[in-house]
Parts: sequence; C-alpha cells; structure tokens
Amino acid sequence: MTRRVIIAFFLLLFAASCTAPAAKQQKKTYRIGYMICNSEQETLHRFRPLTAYLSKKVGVNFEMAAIDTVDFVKEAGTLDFTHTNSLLYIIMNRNNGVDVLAAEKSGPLGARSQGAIIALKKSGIKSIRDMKGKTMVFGPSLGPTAYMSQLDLLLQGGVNPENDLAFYTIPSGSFKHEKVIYGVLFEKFDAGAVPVTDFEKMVGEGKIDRGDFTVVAEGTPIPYCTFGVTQRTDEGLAQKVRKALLDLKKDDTVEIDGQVVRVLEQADVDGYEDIKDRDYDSVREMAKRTNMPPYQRF
Amino acid sequence: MDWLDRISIWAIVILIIGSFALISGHMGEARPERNTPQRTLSPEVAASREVAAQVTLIRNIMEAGNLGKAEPMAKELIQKHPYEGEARMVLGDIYMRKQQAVRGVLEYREAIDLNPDYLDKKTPLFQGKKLKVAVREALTEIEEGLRRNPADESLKKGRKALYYLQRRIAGSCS
Repeated sequence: MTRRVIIAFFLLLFAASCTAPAAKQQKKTYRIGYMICNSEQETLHRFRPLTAYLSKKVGVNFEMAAIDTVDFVKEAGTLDFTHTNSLLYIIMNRNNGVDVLAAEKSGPLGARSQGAIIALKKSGIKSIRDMKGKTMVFGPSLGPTAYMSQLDLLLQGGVNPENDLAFYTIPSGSFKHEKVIYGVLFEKFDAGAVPVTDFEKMVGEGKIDRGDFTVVAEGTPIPYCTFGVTQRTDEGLAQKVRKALLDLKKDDTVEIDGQVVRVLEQADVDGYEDIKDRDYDSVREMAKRTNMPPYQRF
Repeated sequence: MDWLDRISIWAIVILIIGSFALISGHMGEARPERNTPQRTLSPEVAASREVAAQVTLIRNIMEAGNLGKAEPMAKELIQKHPYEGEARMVLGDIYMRKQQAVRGVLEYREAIDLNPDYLDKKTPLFQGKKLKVAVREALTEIEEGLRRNPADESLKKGRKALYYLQRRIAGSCS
C-alpha cells in the first residue's frame, strides 16, 4: 500500500511538472536610431510614443536608441531605421546605403528647413560683407542648417571663416541652438548661425524678442529631419513603416506608462511627408561646396 | 482493483497522452544552439577572426578621418589575406571617402567576386544599396573623364568593369 502511494505521488508530481511550451516565436525586434537634437533625454522623451505607435501599427517590436550626431555613421550597421537631419542622411546614403522613407514637417517651412545668420540690430551688421573681423558662433558641425548652410553663405559672400572672422566657435553640450541665440543676445558674439525653425520657436515661446535681432542672410530651404531605412532591412517592412508615418494624424494616440499621449504632439512634429532621394541633391551640392562629408577632401 | 490502482492507471494514461502532445508539439524544431566554448580554433576560423578584428580597427581609423593611415593598413591586410572580400570592401570604402569613386568601385568588384553574399539581401553581408550609389557616382566620374579625353583607355576599361558591376547589382536579390 505504502509503495503504491509513493508511486502514485511521484506520477502525479511528474505530470504536474509538465508545463506548456514557451511561445514558439517571439516578435523580432527592430532598432530605430534617433539623432540627438538637443539632448538625449529630450530625444527619448519626444520619440518614445512614436516608437510605441509604430510597433502597434506595423505589428513588430521597435526599440529606440538616441545617438549623437558624430557617432551616428559608426552605429548605422546596428540599425534598421534612422531618424536624422538631411546631412547625416546623405552621408549614410552614400557610405552605408541608407534609403529615404519620409521627411518630417515642423513649423511654417513644413518639411523644409533653413539656416540663417543672425545678429543684434544694434550691432550694425547688415550683410555678409560686414562679417569680416567679427566674432561668430555656429551650431553643431554636422547640422545642415546650423553650420553648413551658414558656412556656404559666408563662402559665397566672400568671407572665409578661417581667415576673415576675428574668431568663431561652437558651443559644447546640449541645446546648442539656444546657446547660439543667447550668445548673440547677450553680446558674447557678434553673429550666430541658427536654424530658422529653432529661432521662430524661441520667439513663439517668448524666450526672445524678434525685434532685437536682424537676419543677416538666409540659406536656401533644404529637407528637414528624415526617416531612413538601412540596407539590411526588409523592403516590405520599410514600406509598412513609411505608410504608418505618412498616415499619422494629429489625433493619433498611444498609451505610454498608463497615460494616453498624442504621438505627433509629444514628438513636436506636424506630420510626415513623402520625399524622394533627389530632393536631397541641394544638400549634396552644398556639402561639396563647403568641403563637408560625405564629399570632404582631406 | 482498488481506488489507488485506478488513480495510478489514470495518471499513467494522462502522462502518456501528455508526453505525446508535448513531443508532437516540438517536432521539427531546431535544437537550441549550445554556447560551448571552442577549445581549439581551426586555422581558417583564426584567420577570419584576425581579419574581422583588423577590419574593425581600419574602419574606426577611417571613420575618424585618418584615411592616410587606414589605406596602407587595408592594403597590407589584402596582401596577407588575398581571398577575404571584407579587406577589399574596406579599401573600397576608403577610396570612396577619398572621393575616388572609380577606384573604390573596382575594389568593391573584387570583394563581390570573392564573396557574392555582398549582393544577397538574404545575408547579413548585403551591401547592394551602398554599391548602387557608388557605381552611379563612378559612372558619372568616368563619363566626365571621357568627355574631356575620349581616347583614355584606362577610363574605358574602368567603365567596362562598372557595367559588369551594374549588371551584377541589377541581378542581385534585393
């Protein structure tokens, strides 16, 4: 009797230990690299809902990575999708085979962005020629409308920053565009290189008074931030992501940490627009004129 | 047969059915890979690891903008491992960054001949889109050169190689 009880006990224990097999196939995870705009925290905060929204809409897992502009090209091989400025896009298109998916719309210029050189009205600087012998502060060196566009304007206007400016610099750390504008406002520098979108945003937020500044020169509008797809990613998935981005509306929401948020509002974006690679030819020409990557000659 | 015998028989039956269900559910599944450390490396594996480490180093130097240092390192790697496509691929990348698209594409062609996976989208080595951009740029460079000097035989030879590569890319899995 005791023997039978022991056998029955072990049989039941053995049967109970059989658990259902784990899910056979887990969803594959794809990596989206977001270029850090102002700071890592800001970038993660802005694009977390968009990443979650794309996961829900496309039906695959997306994970996000905030990557510094100078490290982006090195990281390209580990990414499936990219979100960068237009200069980084043309670099990665040439060197890493990244293809364009959609352009971001923000502010009055829509899916375009424009660089400007600003100065205080009272500085007396009215044109590029007046810049000779002055001090200037630029934005990040891989910023198409915070550095390259202004460098192009200066060179075309006969001012070589290396020889003709008294001094120029680039601020360190985060929120470089704001630092440039404040640097000019508080007269630390005679002129500054800013993206028009960021300047207008600060005016809108009441941080600065437009009346204090004069726009010395404006560059030609070029494509704004760009969603791209790397060459390792499946074409079908790329088209699904593209469609999800182009279909995004202002009222589209996603749940983040139990809170329902508007995707575009938190990303500080007005929407996404269809764009072709040839639309970036103006950026390529500008990079060639200013000896910038990917056409830099050493 | 008392109640305990009946319970035992039922338990055995349930166990047999459950076992069948589990076995049939897992039929055809690949066995999980074991991460057992290799004690000895074959010469081929050791060589490819050395090439991979060298290529990473050369790429880092190249991305830092030190092309003058990266180029001789890549050439040395090619001499040491003439049948490794990756060494040719990295030299092509260096030429592209030096704005020598034709030379770059000729190196890419060598790399593809050594390892056709560079044009196969189904492999992690796929580089087709990058090569497409490079070929387009190199063809423009050659056309401009031939406009200036229509008799330039080296450019004509280069164009032939580019057309070959263009055909390979067009026919690749993308």
